[in-house]
Formats: sequence, structure tokens, C-alpha cells
Amino acid sequence: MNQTFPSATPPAEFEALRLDLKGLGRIYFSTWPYIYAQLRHFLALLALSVGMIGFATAVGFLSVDILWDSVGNEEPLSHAQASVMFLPTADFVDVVSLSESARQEILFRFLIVSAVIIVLTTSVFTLIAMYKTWILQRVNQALRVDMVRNAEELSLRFHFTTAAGDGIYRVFQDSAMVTAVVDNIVVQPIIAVMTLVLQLTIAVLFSPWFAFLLFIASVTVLVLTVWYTPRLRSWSQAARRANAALFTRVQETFQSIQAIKAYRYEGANLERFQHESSIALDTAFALRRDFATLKVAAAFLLAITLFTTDYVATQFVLNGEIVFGASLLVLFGMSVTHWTIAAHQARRGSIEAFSFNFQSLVRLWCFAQDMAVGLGRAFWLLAQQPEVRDPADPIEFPSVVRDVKFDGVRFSYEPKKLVLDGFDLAARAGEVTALVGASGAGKSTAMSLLLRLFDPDEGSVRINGISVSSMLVNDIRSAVAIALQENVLFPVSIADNLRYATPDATDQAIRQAASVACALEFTEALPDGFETELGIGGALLSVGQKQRLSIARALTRNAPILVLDEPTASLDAETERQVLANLKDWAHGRVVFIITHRMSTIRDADQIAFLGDGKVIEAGTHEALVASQGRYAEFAATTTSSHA
Amino acid sequence: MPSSLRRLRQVMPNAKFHDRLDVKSALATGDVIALFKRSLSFLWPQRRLFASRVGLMVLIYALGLIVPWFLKIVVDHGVMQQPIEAGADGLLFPVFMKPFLDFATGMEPLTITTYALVSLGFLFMFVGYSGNTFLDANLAEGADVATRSENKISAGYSTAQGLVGLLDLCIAIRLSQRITHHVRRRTFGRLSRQSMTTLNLQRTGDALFRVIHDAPSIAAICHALTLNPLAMVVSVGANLWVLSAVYGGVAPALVWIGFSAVGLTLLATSPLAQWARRISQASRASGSATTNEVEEGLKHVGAVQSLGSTDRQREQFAAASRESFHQSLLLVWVTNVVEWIAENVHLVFATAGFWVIFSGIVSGDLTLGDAPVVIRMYSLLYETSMQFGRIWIDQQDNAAAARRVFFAMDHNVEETRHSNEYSRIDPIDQDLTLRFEHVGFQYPDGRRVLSDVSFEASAGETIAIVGPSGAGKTTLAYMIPKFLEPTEGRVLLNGVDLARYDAQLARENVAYVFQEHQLLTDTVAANLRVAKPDATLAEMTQACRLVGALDFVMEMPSGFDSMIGRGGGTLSTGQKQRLSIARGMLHDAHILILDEPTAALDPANERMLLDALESSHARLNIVIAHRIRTIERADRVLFLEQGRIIETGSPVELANREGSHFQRFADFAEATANE
Repeated sequence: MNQTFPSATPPAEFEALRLDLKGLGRIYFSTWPYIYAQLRHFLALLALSVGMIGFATAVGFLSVDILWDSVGNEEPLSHAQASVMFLPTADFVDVVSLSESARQEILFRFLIVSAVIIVLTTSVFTLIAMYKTWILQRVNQALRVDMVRNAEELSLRFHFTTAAGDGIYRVFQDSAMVTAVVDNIVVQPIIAVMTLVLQLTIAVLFSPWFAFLLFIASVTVLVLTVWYTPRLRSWSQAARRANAALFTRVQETFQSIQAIKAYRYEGANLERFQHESSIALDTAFALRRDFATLKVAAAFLLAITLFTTDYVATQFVLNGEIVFGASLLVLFGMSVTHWTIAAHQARRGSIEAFSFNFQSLVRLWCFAQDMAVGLGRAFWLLAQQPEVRDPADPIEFPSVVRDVKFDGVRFSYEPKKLVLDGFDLAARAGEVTALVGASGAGKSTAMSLLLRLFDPDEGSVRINGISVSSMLVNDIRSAVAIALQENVLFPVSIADNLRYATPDATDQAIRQAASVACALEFTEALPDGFETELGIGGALLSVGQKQRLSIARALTRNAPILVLDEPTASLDAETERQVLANLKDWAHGRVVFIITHRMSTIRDADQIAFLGDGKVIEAGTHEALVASQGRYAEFAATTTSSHA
Repeated sequence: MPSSLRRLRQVMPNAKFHDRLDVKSALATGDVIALFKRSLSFLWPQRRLFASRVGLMVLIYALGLIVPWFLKIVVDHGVMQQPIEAGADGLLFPVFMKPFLDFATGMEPLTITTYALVSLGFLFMFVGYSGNTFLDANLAEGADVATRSENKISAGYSTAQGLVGLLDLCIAIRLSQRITHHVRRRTFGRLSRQSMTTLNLQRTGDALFRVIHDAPSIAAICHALTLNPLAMVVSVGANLWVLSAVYGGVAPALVWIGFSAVGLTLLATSPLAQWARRISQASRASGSATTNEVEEGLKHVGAVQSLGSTDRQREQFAAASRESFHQSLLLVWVTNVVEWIAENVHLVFATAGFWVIFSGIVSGDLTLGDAPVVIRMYSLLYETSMQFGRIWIDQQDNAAAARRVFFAMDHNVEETRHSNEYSRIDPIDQDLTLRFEHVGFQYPDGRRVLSDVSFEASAGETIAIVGPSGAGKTTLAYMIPKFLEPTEGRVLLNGVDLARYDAQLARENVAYVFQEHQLLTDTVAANLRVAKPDATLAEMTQACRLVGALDFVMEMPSGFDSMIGRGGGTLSTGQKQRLSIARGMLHDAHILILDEPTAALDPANERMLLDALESSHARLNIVIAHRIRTIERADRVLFLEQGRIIETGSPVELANREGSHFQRFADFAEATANE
């Protein structure tokens, strides 16, 4: 019956988001607006990070140089080094080799200076980390708000069908994931790559050989990673599926606990849980094992490269060779001309830093593979656009609603499959209008046009004669309250449930709504009255009671238009009659639509609209329609025929 | 209540209790010890994995002792060209380096370098910077519970790289997983066997949270209490031993700094951890409550679209969400400050170490190669003791989670058939009788639902339970399969008190069709077979035909093998309800209870179903109904109001009884249906 509705689940192209170049491109494209909104901060973060990394590298080189060459190996300081430590050039720079007391003095001063620098740099790095968290939170916030908006829009669009946006609860996780993606695929890699470039430059300055060795190692690790990626990706997918299955199992068990108990299914169900839990754990293990294997392999390859440069550098020192880019290395705080022990150690530090950053990139890449698996839905959700737009020059929503009119409305979800075809209906304030007809007749579609979830292809929906398409979507939706057949109550107090959409409703208003919905009496009979906490989906109440509460919740909104979608299916006849009678009183000055199959409800409506083939075939009171012996009379007869 | 919470409450009013969060902050020490003891009991079944980890850990720290000395050899005997003389006299090396030094005696600097580097390469293939490195396989996590707990379930790390590290990590992950699996299997089993009153009172989210998200905490506790302290003792002990053995004579200050680094770090982390914990808990109490409320509120979004998605609501949501970020930022801030303090404490020791080492180098007591050795050893000592201190910050949260898990495990469950207290009752034969004797029921919260209900029914009868909603009809029916047990009076099945039956056995006799469909994500056939595991295709077809479900099942892509539920085809509420009824019909029981079965059926199907009910004379049918068409087919009507049976009799009898409640009820319903 739902074929005519557009799908509420993402199309396949989004499910299969893969992190190849195309996938990466899509992610960059989709997240760009959120990055752009914080671009100033991101650029500042980048500049700060790279600046600090450069500064830390320079300080590191300076330290190694002073400690190893001067303190450790008696070599005089450079002018710059001496001035940093406020040392006179006479005894520290312009000498052949340093005296023991001079070396002690340098050590003492150096340690003080470096301690100060380290305290400062760690503080700045801490602040940078905080800054980054703050920026990412802003991104997450923007994403979350947008995703919730889109998810609500979607679920509104689909809630009249059975496929109400099933995974909306995942928005929280999805938005966090996208933020993690911004961090792991955009921010961190950029910083890591810039650091790599810096370290590679330094490596070249020490010796082009090192750069060559690093290049070979990097290419090997890259090839290995690329070759390995499909394996990780498929484990990731398997792990996600297994986890989803497990989660569903647990959730369903508690939702369907009565049936499980009734059919003594606990044992079999536990076995299934155990089985699914094992699968989930096994795939999680396999994914991590392979991930760790790649990490270990990359770390080993890079370590071997480091040891090779150790050998080469030792040879350089032994042969007393000249440092390739000595003049430029000075810029990084390294004042050597020939290979010394300090150059040897500084080279080690710089290659270790390269290897560390390169491993981070590999790790980020693997993270990204895993994240991409769950991202398809998130990006699909982000890409959703509202079907309808606010008019440029909106007309104010009328303060008093006199009537709602459907005027020759034609509408289709898909081309050539008209759902509404010349739909005409007028509902007046103070009246209850029942929409009757087989499923697929267009009852729900008509209501979604009223809510402006879609705009009609032809014709118009008018409130007080003004087309809804010239009003603000928000105004219209604020003016319509809906109660559904599947009534969802939250595990909070009854009062909070009723107040859910209208937080500032007074106790008086809540009581009144409860009274109209015939929910007052039983609520007050509860030990805690309106403050009673409800269990799972309000399980302490009977279905009929829950239904009345959800009607009361819609009434609490005090909206001028009320839509009840099969609201009374579980009520007993007497209660139902009472609710309807109350509603008719309450409806004074309001427009009430009821979608229902129940004859008793239909009968008492002020107006019955009998739908078929996308239009209103007959409209009028029960008596008038039965008297006219049309399609409605026929319908009414069959519905009651089994009772003779 | 913090203002953030108050503000949030306006958007997402929530329960007064947060049983899944421990807002009550610290647990008493005694409780924690008891919880820890119990958590450790889960380690025993995994003793082999555990023993492997202990063995590997010793190996890793032992090999870790060797690594820095090769770096010293490269510096001193390679770059600085200090020759190694026979017996390695005057060189500062631990005993275990003797074989290499003997081997390298008299070699050229470059040759020594080569051998040292090749040895390092081999060591790295197996362990990396053993003891002083970190290998894990955690995946990216975001600001949500799901990804965090996913990492926690498969938590594990190794302090080595290379092949040994990989093996160690795999065992560590497996160990966590096995414990978690064990815990969540037990929790799940116990939770799903809890009695209906408990389940009704509990929040589903809470139960889910325990099974999925709280379970890994037990494994975390096991690690923190056993392997972490052990690792600390082994690595600190071994390193301090080597430090004193090598430098005790030449530079005793190095040894003293090492000892005090460990001691002071342990002393300092304790208050630091306390402080961080207090702040983080305070912030968590509101921050994470906020996060959870937002998260939970979102879960409902799908269901509350109808309540409006206006700009105002969106703004409120955005405000709540912003607030939750604000709170979590505070937490990040605390963590960062703690880290910063830790780094600077480390700086004090490192500076002292540098001073002693390089003074030693200047005076000629030490060589340049000692610098990387000592620095590595210090950082290992420091990191290990720091981690040991930090572990305790997390244990508070873990203990709270463990308490919730154990609470769920300990909760009363329904009796199982293994119990000997219950007499085995012979299978019920044709002459089934069901008797309610003065049955009353009161919920634990004091709400009375049933009072003094007495009636008798036997096989072949169809009983209709009628009455306004909330009268206690479903509660009454729940007594028959022992979903609920009477708080007064008793229910007898063939003269035997149901209290003497084991719940499972009692349910063998009852098929129950619920008012709200309860289907599982699986194939149609699997859902039907929940009621009868060996149901044949013919039986399933028959059951579906009876309730008018056959047509749409056949229209589904794979018929009975089509998936329903999440990820499968979507069925309408009415269709699901019909499958649910079909399932009940399939369960070949002596008593069939239908709770408002016909709401989902059209008149023709309803008639078919009612005919089918009448056809079986061996079965007792109990129907809860509103529709007069259903009621009038019953042999007897029990009219319930406010938990009491106020009228009984055949439908005709009651309908004709002047001024009866049923007459009012029936009159109206008949009138509406018949006009």
C-alpha cells in the first residue's frame, strides 16, 4: 500500500559510501558548509598548530645541539645559543673547546631556559587542544540541529505511512560521527601532512638520502595500506551489521517481552542473543586484529628505516662529512656544519617524528574506513532538502480559523501516479470532519498537504480562504495538533507526557485536556495522579488509557486545527462516545479532522467525507449520506452487515 | 538542580530518577570492594587467556630492558668511537648485555653499529620499544555512547609493538570480549526472565543500556585490578633494579630520582585523581545527564513528530544540545588540566635527570650514550606509575556500571523449570477447567487493579471479558499464563493452584494474542514458529488464512521467508496484528486468549476467525472485546468494571437483563453497529 510514497530510507548509493577518492570527495563536499562556517577558527587552529610544531621542532634541535655537542662534546656555542642563555661570547663562543665549568654553567642555564619553554609550550598545546574541541563542538552542534530538523521533516512526511523514519534515534550518533570525520579526515590529516612536509624538508636538509629512504618506506607503507584497505572495510561493514542485529535483538526482546514469555521463547531467544553477540564480538575482533596488524607492519617498516638512517648517519659522523643543508638547518635551530653527535641525534628525533606522523595518517585512514561504513545515512540525511519553501512575502496565519478548504487539489508523489485527483473538501470550525475510505484513498496525503509537508501540484489548500502556500510553514505546523493510532508515551510522568510539546502548559490546561480525552478520571485514581511515572511505553496503563492520554497530549497544544489519525481504535464504545462528545464541545472554534474506520466514530461526525480514487466522493452527515443510498451507504452496510 | 538541567527539562521533561547514571557520585568503599570482588569472579573462567597475558607481559618487560642499551652502544661505541675492550671493563652496562659486549669486543665502530642496529631490528620485529610503547586497535569514537562502548567492549592494548605486541593485543581484546560476552549473556538472560511487573516498571532504555553499554565495565575492572598493578610492579621493579645495578655506584642520584619519581607520582596522582574525579563527576552529573536526555529525547523524535516540529522546538533543542556541549567542554577542560599538571610533574623529574646525566657526562663519570638509556627508563617509570594512578579515576564509573549490571543480575526472576519445588503436573487432558477464586491484584505501587474475581470456565467454552478500558481485563487475562500472580486469592487449573506450576509449564497451556503486535526482526515463518517451533508450511498457511494474513504474506517477495521488521519489508500495523493473531492460532494450546483481536480485522476475516474459534471443542477461548459482533458469539460474558466482575451471563441474558451495565454497553455498541 505504500508504493506510492517516496522512500523514507536512504537510496543504495548512500548505503555504499566507500572511502575511495570519490567517497572522500563526497565527504569533503558534504561537510564543507559546516567547516566553512567555522573557517576562521579552523585556519587559526591550523596556523597555531603548525606554528607550534615548527617552534617545538626548533627548540628540540636547539636542545639537542646544546646538550650533545656543547655540554656533552665540548663544542663551543653559536652566538644565538649563547644569547638565549645570556652567556658571554668570550668563554662560550669564541673558544676552541669548552671548559668543564663552562659546560656545567651551560647545562644549568639550559635546563632553566628549557623548563620555562616547555611549561609554555605544553600550556599552549593544551589551549590548542581545548580550542579544537570547542571548534568541533560548534560543528557538531550545527550538524545536530540540521540533522534533527531534516529528520523531523522526513518523519513528518512519512509518519502517515507505516515507514516512519525508523532510525531517527541515530541522529545523535550520526552527527557525532560526522564531526569525528571532520576531525579525522580533514583537520588531523591536514596538520599531520603539514608536519610531514616539515619533517621531510628537515630530513632533506640533513641528507637527501634520508628523504629518499623515507620516501621508499612511505610508498611501501602506502601500498601496503591501500592493498589492505578492502579487508578492513569489509570487516567494518560486517561489524556494523552484527552490532545492529544485536542491538535490534535486545531492543525487540524488551519491546516484545510479553510474546516472548507467552510462547516460552526466552531460551531460544537467549541462544539467538548469544549467537549474535558472538558474531558481533568475532567481527569486532577480526577488524581490530587486522587493524593492529597493519599498524604493527607500518611501525616496523618505519623503525627499520630509522635504523638504516642510524647506520648512514653514524657513517657520516665517522667520515666527518658535511651536513647537506647546514645553512638552512640553522633556521630550525641547528647550528652544525659537519656531522656531529648532535646532528646524529637531531636527525634521529626528526625521523622519529616523521614516522610518528606517518603512522597517525595510516591510523586515521583506517579510522576513516570504519567511519565511512556508518556515514551513508548521515550524509543522506544532511542532503535532504525540505520539499516546501516559505514564501518570500508570507501572509500572517489568521488569528481565528474559520475553515479549511481543499480546492481541486491534485497531487502525486511520483509522476503519473496521482494520489489526489480533484480533491475538494470544506471543513468548518466547530465541526468534526471524518475522513473515511479504504487505505490508499488519500486520507493521510490530504492531511500532509494541510501540514505543508508537500505542496499540491494543482489546486490549493486554504485556511480562511488564504492558500497555505502563502503562509510560513512554521506557523501552519504550530497551528495543527495531531494524535496518532500508535500512541507513544514516554517513560516520564503523565504530566510531562501531556506537556511534551507545550512545556509551559499550566496544570489547569493539562487537566482540561485530560478531561476532554476522558483521561482525567483514571489518572486521578492513580496513587501519584498526574505525577505518576510511566513504564516502558506507558506499560502500566491499558492500551485504551494510553490512547486517551495521547489524545490529551494533542489537545494540550490548544491548536486551532486538530487531526486525529485512528485515535479511538482501542477505546470501548462508551468511552469512545464520551470522548467524541467532549471533542465536539471542545471543537468550538476549531477544525477537527478524524481519520477512522470505526462506524461509531464516523456516525457522530458533523461531516463525513467519503474518499475514493483520490477525491471526495460524497460528503455530508451520516443520515444524509445513508439516505442518498450512495457509496457511503453501501460501505456502512457492509461494515455492519455481520450483525443482523 | 543546575540551570542547564532546568532549562533542558522544559524541552525534554524526564523522569525524576536517573538510574542509569550514578548521580549520587561516590560509592562507599565497602560497596566498591564487594563489587570488585564479584567482578573478578568473571576472570576465573578466562584463566588461560589471563595466564597467557601475564606470561607475555613478563616477556615484554624483560625484552624491554634490553632495548635502550643498544641505543647506548650506537652512540658511545659507534658515533663516539669508544672501543669495547675485553671484559668490557669500565663500561656501564647491565649483566645481560655482557654476551653482546663480549661478541663486539675489538670491533670497528661501524661494525659495532651494524650489529647493534641489526639486533635492534630483530627486537623490533618482536616487541618494538618494548614496555615503553603503546599498541591498541581502538576505532574512532565520537561524543556518543555507542562508539565509546563499542571500543570498551573490545578494549585492549599492549605495551609492545611487533609480533609479540600483536599477539598480546589480540589476547587482551579477546579477554575483554569474553568477559563482556559472559556478563551480557547472563544479564540478558536474567533481564528477560524477570517478572512482568518488574519489566513494566523498568525503562526499556535502561535495560538496553545494561546489556549493551554497562557490561564491558566488568572487564575493565578485571583489567584494572589485576593486570595493571601487576604490570606496574613488574616493570617498575625490573627497571629500578637495572638502574641501581648499573648506576648505583657511579651516579646514585639517578637511582634516587628514579625511586622518587615513582613514589611521588603515585602519591601525587592519588589526590589529582580524586580532584579530577570529583570535578568530572559533578560535571558529569549534569553534563552527561544533559547529553543523555538530549540523546533520549531524540530517540523519541521519530514518534513525536506529531507533537510539532516548530521553530520554537528546534530552538529549544538547539539550546539543550548546546548546553550539553558546554558541559562536556568542562569535562575536557578538567582532563586537559590534569594532563598538563602531569606533564609538568614529569618535567621536574626529567630536568633533574638531565642535570645528573649531563653533569656526569661533563665530569666523565657517564657517557653520552647513557642519556638515551636513562631518559627512556625514566619515562617508562613515570608513565607506568602515572597510568597506575589514572586507572582509579575510571574505576569509579566502572564500579557504578558494575553495580547496575549486578543489580539486574540479582533481580528476582521467574521460576524456571529446573526448580524442584514445583510438582510436575501431568499434561492437561480434554477436561480442562480454569477457576478463579477471589482473585485480587495490586501493583507494587499500591494501585489496585482487580478485586475478588471469581469464575469458572472449561474447555469448549468461549468467554468474553467485557468492560470499559482500564477495568482490569488484560490484568485478569495475564493471570492465566502467570505473567502476573494474584496478590490475593488463587487461580486453579484443573484444580491445581497455578502458584504450584512453574511459569514455563503454565504457558505451555496458553496461547496469548496481544493487543499490540509483538513481532521480531526475522522472516515471517520464523515469527510464526516462535509459537510452534516445528510448524509446517501447511499449518502456517492455514493459520494465516484464518486471520486474512495469507494474501499479503504471499504478496511479499519471498512469501513466508520474507524478512519483516527493521531492514525488511514494512507491514502496516493491521497486517502485523494479523500475523500476531496467526501466531497465536498456531500455538496449539488448551487455552487461547485473544486481547482485542478483531480491531485489526475486517468483518469477513473477523467472522472466519470467530468460526474457527467455535470449531474447537477441546479449547477454552477467552476473548477480550469491545465489538458486539465478537461478544455475542461468546458462551458467557464477564462484565468487568473497576477490577470487579459486576455481571456474568450469556450475552443474550445480559442484554435482556433490565438496567444491566452490559445492556448499556451493548445497546450502544449494537446501535452504532447496526443502524
